[in-house]
Amino acid sequence: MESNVIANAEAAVQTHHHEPQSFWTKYVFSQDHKVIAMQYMITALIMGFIGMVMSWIFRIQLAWPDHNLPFMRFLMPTNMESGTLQTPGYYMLVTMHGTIMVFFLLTAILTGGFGNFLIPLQVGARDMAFPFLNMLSYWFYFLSCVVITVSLFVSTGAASAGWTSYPPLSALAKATPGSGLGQDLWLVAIALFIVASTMGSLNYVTTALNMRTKGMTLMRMPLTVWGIIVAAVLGLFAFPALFAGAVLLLLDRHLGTSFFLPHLVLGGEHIVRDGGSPLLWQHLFWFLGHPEVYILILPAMGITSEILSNGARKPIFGYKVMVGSLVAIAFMSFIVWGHHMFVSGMNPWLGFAFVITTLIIAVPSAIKTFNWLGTLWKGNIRFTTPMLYAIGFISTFVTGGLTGIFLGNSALDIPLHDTYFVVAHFHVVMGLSSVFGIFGGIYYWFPKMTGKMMSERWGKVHFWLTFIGSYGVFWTMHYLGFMGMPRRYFSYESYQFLPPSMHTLQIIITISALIVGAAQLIFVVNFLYSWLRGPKAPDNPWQATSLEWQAPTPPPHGNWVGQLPEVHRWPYDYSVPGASVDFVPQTVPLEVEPSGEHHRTAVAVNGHTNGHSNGHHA
Amino acid sequence: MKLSSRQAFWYAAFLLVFTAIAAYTVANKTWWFPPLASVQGGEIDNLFMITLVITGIVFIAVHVVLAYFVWRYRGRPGGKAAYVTHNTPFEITAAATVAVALVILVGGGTTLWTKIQSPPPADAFTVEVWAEQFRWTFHYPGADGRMGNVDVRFISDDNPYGLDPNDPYAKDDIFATEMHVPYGKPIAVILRSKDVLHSFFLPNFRMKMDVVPGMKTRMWFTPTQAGVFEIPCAELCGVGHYIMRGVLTVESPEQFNDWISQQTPVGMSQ
Amino acid sequence: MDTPTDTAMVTTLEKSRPRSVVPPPPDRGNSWWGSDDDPQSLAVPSWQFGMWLGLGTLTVLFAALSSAYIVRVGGEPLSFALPSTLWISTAILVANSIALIQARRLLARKEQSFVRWLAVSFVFALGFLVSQVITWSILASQGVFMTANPHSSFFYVLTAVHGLHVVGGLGALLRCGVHVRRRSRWPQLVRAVGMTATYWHFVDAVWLWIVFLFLWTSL
Repeated sequence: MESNVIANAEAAVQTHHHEPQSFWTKYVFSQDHKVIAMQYMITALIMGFIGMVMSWIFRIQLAWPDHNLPFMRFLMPTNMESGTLQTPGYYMLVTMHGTIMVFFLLTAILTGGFGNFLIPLQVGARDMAFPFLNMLSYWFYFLSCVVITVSLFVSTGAASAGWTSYPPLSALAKATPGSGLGQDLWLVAIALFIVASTMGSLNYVTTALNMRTKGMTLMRMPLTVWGIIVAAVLGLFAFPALFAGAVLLLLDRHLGTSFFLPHLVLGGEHIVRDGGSPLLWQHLFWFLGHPEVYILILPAMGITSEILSNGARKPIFGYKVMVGSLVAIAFMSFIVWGHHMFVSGMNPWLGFAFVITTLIIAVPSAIKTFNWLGTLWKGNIRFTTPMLYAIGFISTFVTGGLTGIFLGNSALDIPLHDTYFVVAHFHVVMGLSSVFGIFGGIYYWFPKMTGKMMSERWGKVHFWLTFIGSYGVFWTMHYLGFMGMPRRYFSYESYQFLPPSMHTLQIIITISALIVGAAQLIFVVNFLYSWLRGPKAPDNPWQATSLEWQAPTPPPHGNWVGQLPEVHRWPYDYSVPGASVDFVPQTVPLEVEPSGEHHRTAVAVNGHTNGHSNGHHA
Repeated sequence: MKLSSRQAFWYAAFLLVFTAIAAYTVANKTWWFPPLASVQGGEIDNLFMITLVITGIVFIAVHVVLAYFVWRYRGRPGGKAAYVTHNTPFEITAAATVAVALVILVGGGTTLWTKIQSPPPADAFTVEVWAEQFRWTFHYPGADGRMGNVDVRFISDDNPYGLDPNDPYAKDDIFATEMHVPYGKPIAVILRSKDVLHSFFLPNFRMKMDVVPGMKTRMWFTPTQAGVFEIPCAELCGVGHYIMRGVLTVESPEQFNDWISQQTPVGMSQ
Repeated sequence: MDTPTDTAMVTTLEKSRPRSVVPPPPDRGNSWWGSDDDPQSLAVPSWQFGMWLGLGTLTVLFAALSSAYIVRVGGEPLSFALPSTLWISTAILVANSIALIQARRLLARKEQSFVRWLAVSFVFALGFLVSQVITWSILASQGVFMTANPHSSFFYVLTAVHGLHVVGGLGALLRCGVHVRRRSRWPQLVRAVGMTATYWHFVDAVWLWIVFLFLWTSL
């Protein structure tokens, strides 16, 4: 590593590029994509940890109502002064849990963390196209995290109208305690987050399309890059709708306009507005909200594809179809938002159209699943921790995807909408699956990021507790959905249509959630300990083919010492017949090792592997 | 490689055990829907079962295949993966199969949706509903048999239900804190909110519709049995969301007439 | 810093494959590519591509507000007369676009007079803001405030959001001015003026769209 640093310093001097030297420019206001990636990743993990602790508190309330937790007085002085969670505090927690997890953990870590780290390294660029903008992106994100965290401590409490913040509940301070200053801070934080995400996304897309190294054609980009940039494009064209909504909602809240508010009587008092429509917010919100869930899942799909191919020592099955289905899913995701609004009072004929678009989107999703299975087929699977997560992703994505078929069909959505079935569905398909993608990705790229190896043993313990525990939480939740249990209830004591067995299920869920939570502590310790004390990582510990593994570990400022690498083949040349090893990096010329990149015969039918054509190079 | 075999074994075992538990509890209906009480709900349940069978087959198949692959293709010393990049006929067949299954589901779903969303039959018994934080109020016509107009603008201390002072039909209307309907007729519900969003949920009838301030929303259904049912609110409406519980009693027309005759009209006469 | 260096970089990687003679890399918005870096790329420089993407995002912002407006008023006609200063604003912005086209053309020919057109554009932009403030005060004097009706609400919101973008455009023009003062090299000037002009054309087009929208609803 030392020699790299020295070499890099020399290279930097010779290219007239000034590598930042001071602490501030090197680690704080850094414009190096790898530092920004780590900043994003660590901030997002901290936010995610906060979000998870919130879920413990409300899960304990749901399993053991009014249970007293004396120590909580110190964490939440306003809403748990006696140690028992109060209703406003409960609604605050569920709202902030959703908001933090969706935006501040998952979106941030997948695009800001992995996007930043992987795109330049995997396409062979020295850095992002706009390093300054990239730095700004992180600091706007940081600011939005500060604002949302501060909002937890205002006297009226944080926003508590749900992560969807439907008006009028979110528009009027009188409607619910959290709709005071807390809701304003929520809207400001989201607006800042959108600015941050836009600046980042501009960078990711431009870098991947415009700064690829020689030979890195679009169809030779790893699927991670595809997943991330397609997600970034979704962000660019979907987030502005929520930004517009946030501006209008702030005006409704403070200037007395009636965008979302009709004439109301709240608590016996007339609120004189004229003709606004609460549904307008829902349209604006879900125009972002649906692409948003694909912003979370597409990068995770890319990461999973990458790890599956590496772990199975086999090319990803159907690369072109994988790229095509990513793009198809992204395109379709803009015209399905209405499936969140089947029973919202929206015109039922619109609902009709949204059923059709929603179920069409299941086709490319199913194809991707078959391709992942196809990748494992006839493989030589290495059960590394990243691989365990990648296989787990297939399971969770299928489970959550299939329950989506119920909800996407409007007639079935009528009884299931806003019940625990929905909560179970989206947690499995875009919560768990994204999280599995993230964990797989962290275990996989940690050596490249930090130069150290994580503990495989503790990684496996972390995986098994997380995998089993998460199904304990979210598979069980489906049953509560069958029972018709509405979501966002503080307690279910007064309802007779819920059988007594629902208590047992609630307790199973909470215990599982606490186990999963404990498992994350193992992860945190493993992460920190390995970073500080872990064994030194070799340059290519997983024997992978893609470009980032050909860079020094950890990559120096500018990523490559000397010339940029030249790419000669696609990133999935694993187990190429006739090659001397079972992986051929993208940088190896075709004269040295054969490639199967261009063979077109459908050899998969009988598994007969012949034709690699390496005759196309000059 | 020993470790590899052990991981493969446990992974495959977990996937199979999970699939078995999942399939058993669902097929056994261990935790299932609340008792069914409407015609539309029956049709929804049928479509649900069809969807459950189709998705259930896929769920089990994928997990079994995944478990098999994990075990069968576990890494072995000297083992080598096949170099297989793609298989276009397989992709096309798979996509087409999925598409056919989805066409069936979309066909069934949209047909049923159209039926449920069509206007209620002419003989339907209509109840209007006011939702507010955190209670439901049910509005019935008085002796004149016609429902008076209501609007939030008319609400005042003297006129808590916002009856139109200029509407002659509004003079004798009845407002009740419980919902009663006569058995034997389709029931149409017209929903209004005074303040924030609510959702009128009837778990036993498999019905749900959001209540939106500034709008009238509707639903209709045909009860198949008499009884007392609950109306939970299904859209977050504030701190009392979880206690916004209504009661629906489906009873014989005679019982219903008894009940309604005991209610005091709260028209504009006061 | 933009000059590609001819000095070969020190390499510690096992083997460096000397590439046949490659043309010096174009400036891709990132000033520190070595002379041997030869990125595979689109036909446009990064700054331009990024600019278009960013304008795509802003397009969605205005499209969201516009469709919210159309849905919200639901065919109800505009309830107030559009002040005639709106036409002055429109004329100013059209002229502004022309000034920037001129500036860009002159810069491409390396003629110093492009600076004058940038200044003209700056004055136009300020003029537009003044005209906008007058438009608002005319409406306010007629009692058409933000909360008066959905049309006026959206009129203020759309013009205010657009106005903020005009302010942003002023910033971009000032940045060009800084480049001129610092005697930045020509490619940097081309880039700065090019970005500014592209941005302003977008802002002007959005203005025409807003005017069209309100004319349409006033029919």
